[in-house]
Amino acid sequence: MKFDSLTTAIADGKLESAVENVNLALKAGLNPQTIISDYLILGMEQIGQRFSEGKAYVPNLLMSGRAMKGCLEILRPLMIGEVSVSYGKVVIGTVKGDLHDIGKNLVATMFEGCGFEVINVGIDVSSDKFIEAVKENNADILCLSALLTTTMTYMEEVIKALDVAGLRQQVKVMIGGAPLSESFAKQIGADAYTSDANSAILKAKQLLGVA
Amino acid sequence: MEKHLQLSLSELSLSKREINLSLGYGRNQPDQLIEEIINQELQIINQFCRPSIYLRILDGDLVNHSELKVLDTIFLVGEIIGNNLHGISKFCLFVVTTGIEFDEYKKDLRKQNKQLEEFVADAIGSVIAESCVDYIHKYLQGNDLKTTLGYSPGYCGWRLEEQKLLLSLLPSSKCNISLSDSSLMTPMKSVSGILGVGKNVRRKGYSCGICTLDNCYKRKQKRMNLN
Repeated sequence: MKFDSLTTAIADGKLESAVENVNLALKAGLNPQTIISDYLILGMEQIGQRFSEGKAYVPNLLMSGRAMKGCLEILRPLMIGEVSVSYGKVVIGTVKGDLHDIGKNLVATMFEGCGFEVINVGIDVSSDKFIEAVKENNADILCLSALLTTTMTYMEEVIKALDVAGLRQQVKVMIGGAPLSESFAKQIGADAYTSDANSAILKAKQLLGVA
Repeated sequence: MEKHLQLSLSELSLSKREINLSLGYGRNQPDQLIEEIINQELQIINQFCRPSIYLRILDGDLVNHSELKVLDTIFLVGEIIGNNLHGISKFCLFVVTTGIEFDEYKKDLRKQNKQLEEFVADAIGSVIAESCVDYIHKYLQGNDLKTTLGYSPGYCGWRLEEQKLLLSLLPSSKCNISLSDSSLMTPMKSVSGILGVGKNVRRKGYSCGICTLDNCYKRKQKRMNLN
């Protein structure tokens, strides 16, 4: 039995319809992991695609993210003991001195919705805390966010600290935030800069070779 | 001249178009559901938000093409702003804020995991702060003073760090604004800046039109909104 309406509900950001369809899929005997991989993530990818084509906007991404979360709340408790399939682990946070987190949280939601495991370490995060989170979680990607010209420079310190801790080769570093650019990413030795949540997902998949 | 103004949102006549732009819609309209959330947030914010403006008009002059002296303080405003303030001898230093209640409200939304509502509220907050700056222009014009564009640390080549100097000339207690080591203002939806004033002041150019900084977020936002 196909549950394409579940994918559509996620892409359209319809929480109630998505939850209803998840329950129907479970009743029909679908495995939670299959529901996530074959239907939910597909819906998130569809809204991401619409966003990149200029046919959807940030609020639409957030609505899809909310629908996705609602579904995961039902599915996750059913998956205890199962090996969950994810594209990779992402540690994400706003660097020291900066308290902005709306954009960072949007990116975290999109990562989660698109099949990544996300460890959101919050705002005003020191390099020590980033290193600890990368180590503890064996992260594949470290996402650094900053909205101020006075705090973006701290990103370089985090990258240097990764190097000193011997972690730089095991983790890809992605940066984002209003004052940043591709050239700044190159200058500080980050692996990528992306300008919005959807391109962050696409770039992360590319960096991990799962695109 | 010094003035502390506390306003209601109705006095600011917030523009729906500006809110949509701030949400990234450009020339397009949000769908009905998002529109409802915008209206709902506007209604809630209208109940508690009393934006505050503090302004002070002081004598000053351009020391050279990129340095502005106001009282004994020298601001390194850079050439872009310097060129636009040339020949002016009075400056309005200002700070505006949506108030700490606005930050608290956003925190509450985050705690309740209402990410969409928080995003919309944040966009509305940005528009409120910008509208307060527009209000200053109107207020001064109502007092028979013409104004230049407003300039803020962090834009048009004026370093964000200079916000400390700017706020040192404005009694922070008036608007309850504090500044972190990284020059981040609390409440977060606050704007500080300076504009030239006078009977014969001429406004040159228009926002991004006077500036060539390619990586400025305002310019990026405009590009996004044109697509």
